[in-house]
Amino acid sequence: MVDQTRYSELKVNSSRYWLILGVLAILAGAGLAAAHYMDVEGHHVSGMNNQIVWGMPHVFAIFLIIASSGALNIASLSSVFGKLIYEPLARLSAVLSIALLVGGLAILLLDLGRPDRLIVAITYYNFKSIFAWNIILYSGFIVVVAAYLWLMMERRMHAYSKPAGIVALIWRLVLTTGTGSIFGFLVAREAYDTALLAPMFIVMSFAFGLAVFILLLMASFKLDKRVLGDCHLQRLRNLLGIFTAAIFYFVLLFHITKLYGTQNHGVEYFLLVEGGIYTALFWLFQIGAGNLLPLLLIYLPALKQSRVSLVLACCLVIVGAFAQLYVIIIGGQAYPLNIFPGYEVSSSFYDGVIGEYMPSIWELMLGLGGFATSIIIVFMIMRILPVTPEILPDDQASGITS
Amino acid sequence: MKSNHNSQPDAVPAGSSRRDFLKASAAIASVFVAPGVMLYQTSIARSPDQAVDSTVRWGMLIDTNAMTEADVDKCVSACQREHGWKSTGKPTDTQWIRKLDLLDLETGYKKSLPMMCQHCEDPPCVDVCPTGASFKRADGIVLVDKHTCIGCRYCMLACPYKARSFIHENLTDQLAVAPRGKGTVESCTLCVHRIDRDGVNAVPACAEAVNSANRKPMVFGDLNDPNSEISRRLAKLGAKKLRADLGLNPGIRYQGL
Amino acid sequence: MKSIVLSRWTISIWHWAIISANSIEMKYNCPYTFTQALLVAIVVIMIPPGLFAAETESSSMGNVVLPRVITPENVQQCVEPTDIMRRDHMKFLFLQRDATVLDGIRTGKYSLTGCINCHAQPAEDGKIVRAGDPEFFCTACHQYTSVKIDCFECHSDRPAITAGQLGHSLNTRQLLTRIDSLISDGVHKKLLQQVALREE
Repeated sequence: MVDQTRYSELKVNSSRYWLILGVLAILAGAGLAAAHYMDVEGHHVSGMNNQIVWGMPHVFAIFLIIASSGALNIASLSSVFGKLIYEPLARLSAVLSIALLVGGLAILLLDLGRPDRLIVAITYYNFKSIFAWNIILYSGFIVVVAAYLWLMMERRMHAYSKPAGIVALIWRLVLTTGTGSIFGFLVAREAYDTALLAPMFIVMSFAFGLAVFILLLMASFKLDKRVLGDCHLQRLRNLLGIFTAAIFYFVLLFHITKLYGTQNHGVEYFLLVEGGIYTALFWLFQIGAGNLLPLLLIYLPALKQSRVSLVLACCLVIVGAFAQLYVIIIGGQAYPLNIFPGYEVSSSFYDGVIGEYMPSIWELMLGLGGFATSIIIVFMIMRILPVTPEILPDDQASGITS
Repeated sequence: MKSNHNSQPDAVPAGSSRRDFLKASAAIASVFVAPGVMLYQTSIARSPDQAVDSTVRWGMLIDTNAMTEADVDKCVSACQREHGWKSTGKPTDTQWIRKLDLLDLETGYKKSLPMMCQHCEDPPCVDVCPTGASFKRADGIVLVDKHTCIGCRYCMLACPYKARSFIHENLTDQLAVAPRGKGTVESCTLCVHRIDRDGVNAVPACAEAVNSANRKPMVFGDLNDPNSEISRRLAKLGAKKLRADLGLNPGIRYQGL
Repeated sequence: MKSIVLSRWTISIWHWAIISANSIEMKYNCPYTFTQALLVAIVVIMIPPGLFAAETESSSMGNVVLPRVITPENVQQCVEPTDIMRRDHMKFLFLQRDATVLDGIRTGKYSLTGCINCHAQPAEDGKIVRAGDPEFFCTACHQYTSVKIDCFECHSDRPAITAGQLGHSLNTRQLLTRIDSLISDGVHKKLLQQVALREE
């Protein structure tokens, strides 16, 4: 079946477009400045320390990276699973995927202690390191998705977009598995150390990527005064609901697995009951605002037709995503290592105490800068290349349901 | 820097007397303690211009019963002097070795011990390092090659012993034997510069600070050599490996836990 | 002012890339293809800022700071002839660095500590020159050629021994051996005492 959709570049030439781009550029610039400052001064100006070695930049980076993987969902549904209703959105999905990954990688790179040694990171490989796998997976993913995007856009090559889509799908599943395994394979930390993190990250990626995608879709269509039919939004809405529920299931399973073994009661008690900020983030923001509330907004019959509720649900899913990643990444490090089971341990190196962490303004700037970079890339590609369907009316959708 | 002092005795005015003394005392000790030990060891000692190999595996035995709290403090300050690091107690400060206070809440039993890189046989920090900067030398010493460390801190996340520190600030006036700088990760080197210089006779700074003629709570030596003092003491009294459940087989062993 | 900083920066990247490529070649013993590929890539990226940089660099040619070369008595040359050292000192250093860090071989003659022991001795007037100073032996040339080095972010930029100890009637080989042994003993203070005693 030939794609009949007409695509076009974003036509908006209003001062609005440039205003948005300008604000984003300032954010991105501020992020670069913050990274430079942390590089020159050393990481003591960040909130990170020898207890919490990964902080806010990593929350942002991992959010963007897994959202990138999930953003490609729409393209995969269309090319691989033959859901033709999503075909008009496949290009945009691929563009968003690339952009989010670039932003996330930029953060990861700029947070290194020696960002000037990028060439070392590229030329020295320890093939047993999940991090090294991920360097290959991330950079390869950009190439794969770029090729996939080209095959989708070049009509004469369109027939090859399906195999490319399959490669991209497998690639991103491996990629997110790799990202989850960064934590999942850490035997030393009780809060991690389970392969369950890999599938959980995959499901998280589906939901986070989709939430960002829906917001981008609605914003850009509104900005460019294009018609966006309810049919597509309803389907995306349902998908988001399913993925959010799936996250909830995995979180439940994760904690029950941990709770079953007595040796993990300490860390679970910390995260779920007495962890202060981490407990609050978990219950209020991750579970409450990030899982349950979006499910209500999506599935309550009274709100089913409301676009506002969908936007709100997407925003809440993203808020929940940050809360969840904060709890996983920083909460997991804050709980002390159990080197001497059965003893109470103390030292001048913060053994046996909860690690303290307060994100600094520089880390936030770096994180937001990376996010802004991603959105700048998306908006610029959308303006240069015909990746956005001119119109997404309801009747078109009803014609070719899968 | 390693000098072959046997071939050029004139070139080593200061070290020779100290080394001769060490050698002599070791030789005397070997006569009384274990005849044959020195012979065996000198026969396998590597030449200084040869690469280290896995015939030796360096390790250290720490007898916590024989160590007072003051001893542990001595270890820490000796390491600081040797390598030029300082800790003012900030959470961003480096600690290559630290005093760990244990308290058994059930019985009230207390104990202090020195804690540092455990020099695992299968170190998780080496597994996870993306560039291979975190590596295990053939003779079992786990090190960071600071020339290829990009400062990602993944090794710190992976280490079960909290042995590693990240350098959060600009440093000046580092010592020649311990180059260290902002943006890289560091940890105990088992005084590798001493080991490369003195081979089997080497004593890490922490052990040197607490050992004396009549007691030796910290024994450094070759775990692969069944006749070394550390191996003989391990064979006689046994010792604990920290987090033995992880199967990493650390080279640092503790007695009295 | 800003433009000079920027241009220095771009040139530094240029040289740094070449050095990195060299070390990779040495490590994997590969022919020059990697450098060539890298150079082509960098040339393409760097031509505009490079041109710009060349302009500003040439304008500052008038006031080049010359390195202070310290030649201990009776030392005829460095560990290699000067022209070789000028061209290849980083190669030597990188090779020895890997041998030392990875394999524990500390006997090589191309040690950075060795460089510092000769080349960073205080001047006649006792002035101590640090790596940040323009007339520091390494810094002088590296600043002129805009090749950024980060050695002294970690390594000591001060000699472990004094000029007097470098030896009165030693030849180069003896001198180097002496330096090596002095450092390897790491008992600098004891040594100073002994030297003082002997001179008495």
